[in-house]
Amino acid sequence: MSSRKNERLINLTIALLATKRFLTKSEIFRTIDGYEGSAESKERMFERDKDDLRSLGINIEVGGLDPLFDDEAGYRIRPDSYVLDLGEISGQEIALLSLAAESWRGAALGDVAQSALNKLLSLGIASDFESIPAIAPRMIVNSENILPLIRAISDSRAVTFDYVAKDLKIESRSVDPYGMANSHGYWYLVGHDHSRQAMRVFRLDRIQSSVVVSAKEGTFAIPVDFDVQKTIDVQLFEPTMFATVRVRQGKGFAITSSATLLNDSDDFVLYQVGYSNREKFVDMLLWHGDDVIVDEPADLRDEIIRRLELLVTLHV
Amino acid sequence: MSKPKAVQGVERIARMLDLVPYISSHQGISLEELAEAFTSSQAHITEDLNTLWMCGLPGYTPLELMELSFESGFVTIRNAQTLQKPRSMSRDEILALILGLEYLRDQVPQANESLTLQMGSLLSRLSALAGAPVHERVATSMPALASIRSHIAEAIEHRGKIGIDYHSLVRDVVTTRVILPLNIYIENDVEYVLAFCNLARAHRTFRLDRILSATVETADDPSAISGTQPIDSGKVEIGLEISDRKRDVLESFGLDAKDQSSIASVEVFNTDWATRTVMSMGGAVRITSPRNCVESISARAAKALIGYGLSAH
Repeated sequence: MSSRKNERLINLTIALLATKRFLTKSEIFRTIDGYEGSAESKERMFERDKDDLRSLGINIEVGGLDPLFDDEAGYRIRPDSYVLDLGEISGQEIALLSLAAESWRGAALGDVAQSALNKLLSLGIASDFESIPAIAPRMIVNSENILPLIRAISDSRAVTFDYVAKDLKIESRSVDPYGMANSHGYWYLVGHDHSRQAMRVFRLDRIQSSVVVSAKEGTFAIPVDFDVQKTIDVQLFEPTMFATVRVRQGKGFAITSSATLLNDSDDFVLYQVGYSNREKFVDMLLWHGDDVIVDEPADLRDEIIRRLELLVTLHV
Repeated sequence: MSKPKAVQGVERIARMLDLVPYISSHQGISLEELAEAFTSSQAHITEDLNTLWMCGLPGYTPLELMELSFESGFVTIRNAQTLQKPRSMSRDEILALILGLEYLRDQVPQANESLTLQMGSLLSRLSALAGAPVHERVATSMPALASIRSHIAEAIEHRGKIGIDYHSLVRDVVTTRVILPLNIYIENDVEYVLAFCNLARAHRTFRLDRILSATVETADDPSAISGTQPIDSGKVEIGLEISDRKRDVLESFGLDAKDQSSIASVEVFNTDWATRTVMSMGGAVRITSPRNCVESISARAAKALIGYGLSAH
């Protein structure tokens, strides 16, 4: 874009903001610097300029048509729609919002947050950090998909993306997004999966494509009692199966922390422990080597033995 | 916030429109600071200012033009016309602030009630601007972790000590320590706290999600509890052969899901971690080198089999 065009767009914004009444096209062409050439080329310029400003979220009002006369349409920008209005805002609130913006430093929304911060700091209200704890929170999320997902959640729009399944097959999934949460160091999306016809949880870093957001808004309703954190806990972590294990005294904290003590004998302590994902539980049992021994169920015990034998064979 | 980049098209217009109110409220700001605030270079900002200098109200006499001065490297603006006040925020900017604020709320000590209330009020005002109760649908951090974080934040602020129960997953021990937290930082998407540890009598880093509990410590120096060795430092290269390409296997070693190779070489900080990880995969992957890791796995697996009343052969 040439600097002439930049200049013209700025001048157009200034003039449309300054005018109390609608400015007609011919007034615009006559008074605003930069509209040159034939009538047609001026028209084309103006159409493109309006599109450009609107794409920046600037609301250009059209009006002033008098039905009795064959009048031209007029244009203006209302200052109250252009100017940032956060209501009454204190220096301390500015400081809190600044910290909120700063928390994105280096993360997915860094640039967006920086421009929000610049606008806050342009309000001319001195930030008051006096009574705010000296903390520098840092948001941990690098997925480029976070913003489209949050937009889709707040507009109730369906999303489609490629997802890596357990067997590493990459599959396209179509989901009504209900919510997102950070849990155990990962970001999860919760929603209704169209192909599975059920609520599913997706880990953001396993999404292998850009998220495609549906053009249709409000195509689904989120259940009233929906609680994002709870859904993740239940779907991913709530035990549905139980095992009896012997754990070496003082060891296996990751297992015993959520287990029920059955019998405290000498070297080994007997626990009942619940798990939600058999594969993950097998991993965890094997991680602990000879510190954790499975008694029941038999098929779990057999799988561990088989795996241990395989490990020995593989590492001769 | 990130590296300067060339901004084109309407983005450029947006930046120019936002420069005017920023300069108006920061009269005399240096070009350098301005370039930093707008993630740009001084040359690009100068170009923008050169354009703005030609803009104003119809008439375009000196009376109607914006009056910019930036020759000396410091920028002032007069007669900023209708652009003096900042533009309203985009939906994305509001969403970024909502999430940031929600995240912040989780870290402020809960005792600070007035601050918590103030953040709640800001959240509902921003949500109204965004047109949806976004903050109810997106949870930025785990509640349990939030309370630990807030204890640490408070300790950093007051230069105080806290007592923690810390679980080392690799050594599989829980230790109780008193630490003087210095800083919270993030590496590879994991949060750590850097602290002086009374138990180790040295600076140590702790993963936040492995801190089981945290309490404010008032006593000066409690009796030391079960000792522990610092983890071995220095990277070790290990060779892997993957026979069963599962998502978990690749993720654990940071390998790309799209990489089809079954042979991999990865650098690890801790061979104990690597052997346990390979153990946990139960044969989906095998270590080919170094030799001591290979032996350590077969020895551990054999020992576990004895636990089941079986011998390895």
